[in-house]
Amino acid sequence: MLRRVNLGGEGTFMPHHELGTQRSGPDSAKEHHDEPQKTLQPGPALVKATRLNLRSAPALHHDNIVGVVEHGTSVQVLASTPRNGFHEVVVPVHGKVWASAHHLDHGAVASGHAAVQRILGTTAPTAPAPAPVAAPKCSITLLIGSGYSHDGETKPYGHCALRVVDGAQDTTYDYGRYGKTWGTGSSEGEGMLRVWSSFAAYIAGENATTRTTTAYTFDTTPAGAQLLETFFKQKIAGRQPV
Amino acid sequence: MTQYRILDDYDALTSNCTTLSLHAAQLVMAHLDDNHDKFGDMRGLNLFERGAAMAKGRPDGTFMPGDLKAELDDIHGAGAPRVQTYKAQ
Repeated sequence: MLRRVNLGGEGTFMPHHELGTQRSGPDSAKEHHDEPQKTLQPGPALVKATRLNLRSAPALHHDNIVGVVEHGTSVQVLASTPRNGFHEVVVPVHGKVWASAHHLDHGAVASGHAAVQRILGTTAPTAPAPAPVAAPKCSITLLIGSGYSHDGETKPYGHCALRVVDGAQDTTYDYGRYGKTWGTGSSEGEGMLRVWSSFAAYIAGENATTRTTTAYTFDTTPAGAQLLETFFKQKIAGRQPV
Repeated sequence: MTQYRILDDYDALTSNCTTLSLHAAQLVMAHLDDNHDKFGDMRGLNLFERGAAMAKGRPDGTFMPGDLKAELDDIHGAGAPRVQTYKAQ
C-alpha cells in the first residue's frame, strides 16, 4: 500500500513499498519536538517535494548542500535506520550518483560514486547504480574586477559578479549600485541585479572601464548550477525589468 | 542584459556585489569564505571609510571584492579554482 510520509521542511518521499513511523533516538527527539521520527524501508522511492537538498558526507554541516533533486526523481533508499534523522538514499542525477539522506537540522548523509558503490555492496546489493551518462559541463565563476581610474574618475572599490554555466546556458549575475543612491558617501541605494545572457557582453563592459577582471572558476554538478539559478530566479520573481 | 530592482536594497557593507555573489556561491561551496578573517583588510576603502565601517559594525564575512580576490588566490591544491584574467588590450 502506498502512503505518503512527510520528512520535514525540504521534501517528502513516497516509497513504492512499505514505510513506517516510529520515534527513534535522542537526536531525532531533539530535532523534532512535535513530530515523530519517520522511517523508510530500503527500496525504490519517489521525491514528492518540489525540491530535495543533497548534502555531502562525512561533513554533516547543515548548509553543506552539494545539489538538489526535483519532484518526481526516482531514488533508492539504502538504509532504513536514520542517521541523525537522515535516510541514506541513492539519487541518479545526470549520470552521477549521489547518496543522500534527508531530514531536518543536521544535514544529510551524502557521498560520491565510490561511497555509493561501497554502500550498495554492503547494504543494498540489489540496488544497481544507474548507467553513467555524460554530464553537461557546469561551473561557477566568481568574477572579481579591480578598482580603476578612467577619464579622470577613480573607482577604488572593485566589483564582483557571478557566472553560472549549466551546459549550454551561460548567465552572469551582476548586482550593484546601479540605481538611486543615498546615505553617507552613497553607501546605500536601490539594489539592481543585471542578468547577462552573454558573458562576452558583460566582460566587454568591464574591460571598457580599463579594470582587470580575474575569473575564478569552480566545476560543479548540474544540480549545483541549478541551485544557483533557482536562487537568482527567486530574487527576480515578480519583478519587472527596469 | 536585463536589469531588475530586487527587494534587497544596496548596502555597502551588508548587501553589495560581493556579499550577494558569495551568498549564492556558498549554496554549493559552503566553506568558500571560511578564511574571511585572514583576508578582511577592507581593500579598496580609504582610512575614513574603514573607520566608518568599523563604527557601523563590520559584517561577519567578506564584503570587499579585493578581500575576496585575496581569499580566492590563497586556495591551493585539489579544490583550487581555474583562474583567468580579462583586460582590455
